Amino acid sequence: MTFQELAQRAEKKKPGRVDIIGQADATIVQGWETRGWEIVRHGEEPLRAIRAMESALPDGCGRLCWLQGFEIAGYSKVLWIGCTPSVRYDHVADAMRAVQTMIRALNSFGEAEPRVALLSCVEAISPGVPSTIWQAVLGHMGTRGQFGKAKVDGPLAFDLAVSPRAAEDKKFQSVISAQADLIVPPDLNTFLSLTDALHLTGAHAAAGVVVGGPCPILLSPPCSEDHAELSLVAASLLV
Amino acid sequence: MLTTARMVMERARELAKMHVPVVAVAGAEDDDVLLAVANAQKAGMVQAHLVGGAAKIEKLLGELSLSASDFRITDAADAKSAIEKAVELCSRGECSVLMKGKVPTPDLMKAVLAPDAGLRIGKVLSHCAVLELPGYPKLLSFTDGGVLATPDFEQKICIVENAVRVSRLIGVDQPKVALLGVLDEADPDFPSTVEAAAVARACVERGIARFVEGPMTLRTALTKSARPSAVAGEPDILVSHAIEEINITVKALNLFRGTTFMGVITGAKVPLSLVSRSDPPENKMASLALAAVMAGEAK
Repeated sequence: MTFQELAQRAEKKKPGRVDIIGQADATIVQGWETRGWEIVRHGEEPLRAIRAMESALPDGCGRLCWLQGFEIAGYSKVLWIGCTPSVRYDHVADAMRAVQTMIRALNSFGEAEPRVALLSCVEAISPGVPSTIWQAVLGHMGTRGQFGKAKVDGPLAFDLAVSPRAAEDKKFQSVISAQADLIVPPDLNTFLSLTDALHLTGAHAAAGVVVGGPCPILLSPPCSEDHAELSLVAASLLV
Repeated sequence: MLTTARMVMERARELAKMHVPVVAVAGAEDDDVLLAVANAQKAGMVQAHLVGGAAKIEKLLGELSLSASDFRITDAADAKSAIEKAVELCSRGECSVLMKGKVPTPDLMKAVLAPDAGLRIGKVLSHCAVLELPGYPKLLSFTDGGVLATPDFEQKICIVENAVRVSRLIGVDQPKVALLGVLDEADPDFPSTVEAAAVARACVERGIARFVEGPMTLRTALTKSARPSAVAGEPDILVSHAIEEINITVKALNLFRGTTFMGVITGAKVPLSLVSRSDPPENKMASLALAAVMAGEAK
């Protein structure tokens, strides 16, 4: 899936109504309920905005997931990177729900059976690296089909998630075949550093959207117009 | 100040004119490793001491059109024995650089860390990935993406200290250090930011480096900040909260940005050149050059 294909898909749909807001408080929830907001575009520092919006959501609404997609030279499709800032992934039930939310988003983007890589620094399950433990559990659930139509594997090192050459060199086999559509870093720090590094060091086309709430949220992108437009395309598909 | 991988390799050559560092290669029976170490030896940076299955090493050297007589070779029956012999060469002082070949990293680390191996010098060991990033005017170190999975407060200070030492050995007198965090200020809602602030302050108070700031996001660290900062926009060293952050970010930069990567483990009696099996030979050679410079400058 490329951004161009995403845009073509979005064109076929009725465009979502975009409301621009600047405050992360209860007015968001009221807006969703009373004014039928379809897509919200938000203008605050992303992390604080997500926290504030979550606290304004009614109980049982779940947690918000932040997805950033990148079109990178040398990679054949959009690589989505996902994070649920307020969830501790070592609570397996929460981690599972977070990954399910991300998979549902990718399904709406048109990816019928997304390949999902749970990222750590090694592919071996290592008690000394706690992220490999919950990732192994989720990876195992993936092999049992507990994520529905999605291929989920973890723990995986970054190169084994996206580089067929690295997988071949290391003689590593995985259901995602080093062609991930979605990668889930093990924590918020890693998510932010990875996405910042990709934003800052390359001319990658990128989109960013927050899912898991009553409607998709575009967070004011810290970079290009291009990013804003592609984020809107992605959000439209989620409506 | 060395600002590119090429300059690091030139410096390694200069230093080798005075004293050639001998590299113990643990598990040399790998064509990429042999190519890197042979190129480094041909360029006059190091003398290689290959440890591993001698017959296999000689066969591979032949296939690469290299002469076995140009190398010192120590036979070892298996990976465990290759590690033991390579570590022993370093602890006896016969070799001043250790290089990881075709052996499992955890086994090599276990051998280096063993109290009776003679390579511990009372310091914490940590990995430093020194990158030449396209568009960045100097070398940038990322640490620790390879050794300490969940470093505590004191270990983080040691990680900074180790990285500062690497920076000084490549000619940066006053390295600027950024402790990475999810926000640019300490916020109790995000505990890693609080620890980053405390580590930064402790590093300055203990005189490890003059310019240590944190927390700051990678975005802030690599762009000019609106706030007054001695580090933002021009760091020499980025320090992560946990191992995955640096490991994953560095691998992404390597794969998608074509950076030149030099990986070393520091804090032991000798520097350990450590790169991934899937790294190209040029990165392996550059890593070896960095380790050789560290060994040469420390003399």
